[in-house]
Amino acid sequence: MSLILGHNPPEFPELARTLRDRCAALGLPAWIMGVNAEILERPEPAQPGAAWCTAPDFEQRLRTTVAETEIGHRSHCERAEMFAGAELVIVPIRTQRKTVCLVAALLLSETASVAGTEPESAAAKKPRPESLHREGSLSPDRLEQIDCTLQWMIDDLTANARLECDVESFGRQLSDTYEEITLLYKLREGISAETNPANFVDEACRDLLSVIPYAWIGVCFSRERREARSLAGEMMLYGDAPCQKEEFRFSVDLIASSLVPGTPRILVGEDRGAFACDSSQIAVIPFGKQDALVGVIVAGGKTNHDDAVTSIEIKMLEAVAGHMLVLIENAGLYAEQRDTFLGTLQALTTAIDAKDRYTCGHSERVAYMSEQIALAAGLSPNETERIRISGLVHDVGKIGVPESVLRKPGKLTDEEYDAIKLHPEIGHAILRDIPQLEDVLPGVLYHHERWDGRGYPFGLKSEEIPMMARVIGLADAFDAMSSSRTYRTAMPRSKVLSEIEKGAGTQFDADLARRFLTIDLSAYDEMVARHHSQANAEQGRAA
Amino acid sequence: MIHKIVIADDEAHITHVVSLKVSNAGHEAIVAHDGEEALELCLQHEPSLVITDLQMPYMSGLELAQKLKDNQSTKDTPVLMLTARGYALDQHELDLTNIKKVMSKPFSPREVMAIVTELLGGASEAENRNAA
Repeated sequence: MSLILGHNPPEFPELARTLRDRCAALGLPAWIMGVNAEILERPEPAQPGAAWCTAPDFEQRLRTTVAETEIGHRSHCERAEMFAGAELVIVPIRTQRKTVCLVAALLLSETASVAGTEPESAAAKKPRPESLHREGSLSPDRLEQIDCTLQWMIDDLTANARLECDVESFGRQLSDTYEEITLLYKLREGISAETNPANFVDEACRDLLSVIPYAWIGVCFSRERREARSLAGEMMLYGDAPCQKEEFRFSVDLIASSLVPGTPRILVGEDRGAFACDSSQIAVIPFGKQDALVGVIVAGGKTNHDDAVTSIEIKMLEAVAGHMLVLIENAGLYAEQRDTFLGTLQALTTAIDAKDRYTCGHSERVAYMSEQIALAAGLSPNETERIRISGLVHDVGKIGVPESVLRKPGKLTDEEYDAIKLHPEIGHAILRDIPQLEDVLPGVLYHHERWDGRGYPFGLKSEEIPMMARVIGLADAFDAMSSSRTYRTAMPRSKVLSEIEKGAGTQFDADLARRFLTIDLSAYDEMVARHHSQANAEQGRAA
Repeated sequence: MIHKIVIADDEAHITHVVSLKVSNAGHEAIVAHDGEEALELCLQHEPSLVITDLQMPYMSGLELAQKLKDNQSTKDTPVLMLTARGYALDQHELDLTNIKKVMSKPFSPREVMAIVTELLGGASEAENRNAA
């Protein structure tokens, strides 16, 4: 049976109950009481003295006695006589240096009587419980000893509780710190492994959301391509955001002009606008270079007891923002560098193609068709890109072949044909000193080898020919047959395709030739038309 | 010279870390768990420096600093504030106290000790030993 008063159990630290139970074990019935002397928990009925203390007036007397000691916020226990031969030891239970409740233990002498607390007749009917501890007499020394014992006990219990609390707090702190360190490690790993800024932002925000106590995180990038590069105009929302993406963008735009990169802002109350969903503050982290805003991270909906944004959370958010900034910048610079490099190659090949108006755009078309064949053959994106670049530069060696030979109408002599056959090796020699092109050299050197071994310059056979060169060889032959040459006009498409079918297993890798026939050629045809009109325009200008 | 330093924070890990560093530097660390206790200990010990959190039970670090400034015996005691609420502090409020420096959490204990040494006039025991 519960003796707890009311429906809600009163709040007091567990050590109050521990002390009450220990008093009971010593034969001292004890009550847990509030600081205003209200009774929070009585002794268990099975405890000695419990039945004895149920006299009508008893509890009133207990409360009055405790209240009269005015123990308040004193830290040491007090003693008070409840009635003749019955003393109370009142122990304050303290947490954070404030008394939160009291434990009052009852000491009875042999002579103590409940007289005065209940009618004589009622007392006579109740047998005295034999287990109840009774002192022969309550001498001042004896009382002092009991007093001290209880005080030591509560001091030890309080100290233990405090240490337990400390250990718990240390554990929590350590765990939080580990999470933070792990996030920072992950960011560092991400920045060296991830080349796509969008993927990095995605992963970093998801990780962040699992570490900091926020319900949602949003990232909004500047619309300026110069600042946010590939992520210009992008926005991402993670977790349970209080608004839709459009509203998010709108709200960020409202404050954007007042944001300074590197200076975090905390939005409170009305300022939170569309971000407000509860009482939580909103953290706003603008990031960028000097005055140029690249993007903003916004986080809100705090999920812990604290509605305020803390400096630790700000630092975590700033770390993620900083990493995003570096990656976006790096990816942008890389793309720029790549564009410059490819632009240079393009210029080089255009120069070669210009030597012969019949081959105008040939390199670009071979690059395109090589890429299509590589895709149809299921090669990796990296390999496909290398093949495309190799296709672009495959004829660079023609720079070393006299124009008179390249432009000669009609049949070539053996010597002239030998000069043409040198172009793969010349191209290889020209490009081999460019480190970025090392991977594409096989395509340049071997694109005139044939599957049956009758090609040049080395007469390699089947699998001996690198895949890159087999692909470019096929694309090269296709474009050559499809365009007019000085010595013949272009073949019709059906004839070209049947030639490729015929060449499968002799001139071409049979598997590649078969896959070639599945490729949609409409984009190629558009390219031919474009090159054709360019060539005509140039010829017009020249004339 | 051994300085008395009162360290006030309701978070045990902060008081433990800071008092360990302070003791290792040869000073006497006096730990308080709330603003009120910190004020009592400051008036009792008259420390050379107070290191305090901002948000604490009963009395905030800012109130503590104001009370120290108002009190004759502690009116010149420098205060170092370690807080997770650095952004909530108004420079104007700080100017009314002896808060010489605000460091936001998480902080490096090494950096805290560098500031402590600076605020104590660069006279930590370890440094004196090194100088000698």
